[in-house]
Amino acid sequence: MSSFKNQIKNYYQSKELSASQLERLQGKSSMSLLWSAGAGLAISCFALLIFFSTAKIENQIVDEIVYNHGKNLSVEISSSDLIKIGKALPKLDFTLAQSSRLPPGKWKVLGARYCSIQGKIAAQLKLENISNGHVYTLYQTHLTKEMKGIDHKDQVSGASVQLWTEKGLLMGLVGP
Amino acid sequence: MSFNRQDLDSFYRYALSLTRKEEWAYDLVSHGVEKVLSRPFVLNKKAYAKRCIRNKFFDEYQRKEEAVAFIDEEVSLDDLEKTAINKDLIQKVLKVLNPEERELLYLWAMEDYSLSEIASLTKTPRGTLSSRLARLKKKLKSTNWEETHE
Repeated sequence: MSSFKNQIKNYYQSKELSASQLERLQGKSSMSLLWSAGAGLAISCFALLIFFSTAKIENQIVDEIVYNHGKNLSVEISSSDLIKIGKALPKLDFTLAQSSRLPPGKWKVLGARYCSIQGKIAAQLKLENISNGHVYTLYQTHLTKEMKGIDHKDQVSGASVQLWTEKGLLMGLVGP
Repeated sequence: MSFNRQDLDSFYRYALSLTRKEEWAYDLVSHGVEKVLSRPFVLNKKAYAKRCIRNKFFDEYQRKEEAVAFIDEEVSLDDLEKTAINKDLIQKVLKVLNPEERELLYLWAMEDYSLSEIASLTKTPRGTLSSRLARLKKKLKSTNWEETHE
């Protein structure tokens, strides 16, 4: 006589879903697959749209700040103190920030003037790299939603360019 | 992600061990499959489906308060191995057992789990399972369906 265990096993193994029940259950999976594929496609298209919009504005900003850097305009206020510079440029609608990428021990602020980026008021600061003595231009302006997530490095017209976001501002550094 | 026939039949048999009713078992499987599809990042989908089936069953099951006699007896799954029932009576045997007892038999016979594994899977204390086994054996004996190998 077969063991109790085998008897239980044989009993349950004789039970199975009907063809129509199986079809209905597997149909659920297929529908879910279709929905997932559709949703995936929609999300991918949206992501590509955002990517290309951001890439376009990055290039525009890069070209603009490289052009302004090339003009080599003199500063309106000479100071290494950001607070003093901020007071001297009262039209700025944001507070100048010390960037973590440009620590005071390695970079010296020489002065600043007004400028604009994408039609919005910005600050153009002159910075000296203490290790090599080269002068760079640092731009700071309000961050708009199109600029969020920008983190870009480039070489344009012989100048090195960096764009990034920090402390609620867009920052751009142009140098040799 | 889709389950194959083997998986779905496995869910169905498990649900049947709980419900003893084919339509109810199918509804539970359908529920389990839908729950898995709504959680695409679950890693062990089969185990999750079975958990959903079990939880849904016990949510719906109207538990009758049985006067459960205390059974001071250590029974192991090995004791069940020695039991033999006329194969034609298996369905009748399963009818007199409650869902927890049927589930215990299912997990032991179909999935080959040990008592400790069943305790962990069903979040039931090992002692409770042991009592359940003892009651199960008593039921089989009392209905005179059991024939033991000696």
